[in-house]
Amino acid sequence: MTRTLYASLLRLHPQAFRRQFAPEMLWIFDEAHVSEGAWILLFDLLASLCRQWLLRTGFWKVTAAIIGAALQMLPALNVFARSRSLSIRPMAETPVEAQGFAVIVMCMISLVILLVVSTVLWATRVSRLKALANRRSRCRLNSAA
Amino acid sequence: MVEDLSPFLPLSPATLHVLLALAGEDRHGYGIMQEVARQSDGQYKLGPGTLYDNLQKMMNQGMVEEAPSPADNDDPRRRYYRLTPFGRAVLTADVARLEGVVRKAKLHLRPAHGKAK
Repeated sequence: MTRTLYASLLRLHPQAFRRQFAPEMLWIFDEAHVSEGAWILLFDLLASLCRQWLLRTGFWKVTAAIIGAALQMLPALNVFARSRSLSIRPMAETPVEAQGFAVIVMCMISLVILLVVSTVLWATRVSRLKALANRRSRCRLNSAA
Repeated sequence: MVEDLSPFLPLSPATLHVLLALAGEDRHGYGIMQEVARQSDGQYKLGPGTLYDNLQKMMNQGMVEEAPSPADNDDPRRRYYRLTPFGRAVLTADVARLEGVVRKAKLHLRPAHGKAK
């Protein structure tokens, strides 16, 4: 049962990590679950799962951007609701249309923030890879010298 | 030309132990786990999750790379890893940093030891 649970938790890891390491990690589980303790290995894998999604991928940044956009829309929705209670209907004639409008605006803002965050992440990754390539070549030259 | 390795220092305990385990010879994942436990007299144990999470980070940073399997009839699930020259340079720099820490610690602890007497 613990092996099935371990394999299932491995399947929840990001695809790149899973492809690279999952078979070997399962092999280590088979070898070490008696000596190390199956539940300790499971707990370790659970911690690794959290680290992979929260730290190694940009997933948390995208989530934070979407939550930030949603929070920014709250005051706007509040103003809109108050204007409705004062019978001032600036943009929509019915509450259903108003709600639809608010949702569309929120989605558009989230999309824009998502695009900006993705572009920044991509640019950072490219510059980091370039720096890494430079560092490696310098190191190779140093070791050759 | 002296390279600036300060962005990579100080190394986390897991990274330091993995680099130390690979400093002597190429090892597979389970071999690294066993070597880390041996080097620390069983006081520091790495689980596979922590190990491969760190290995992935180190491979992305160019400190560790995959090595060919030493035996032809080896289990295909076993993959071997080795230290790159860059990884060795980072490890050397961190060991030098730790030596400095130990030197300073000894210097500061000596008078306190004297006062206690």
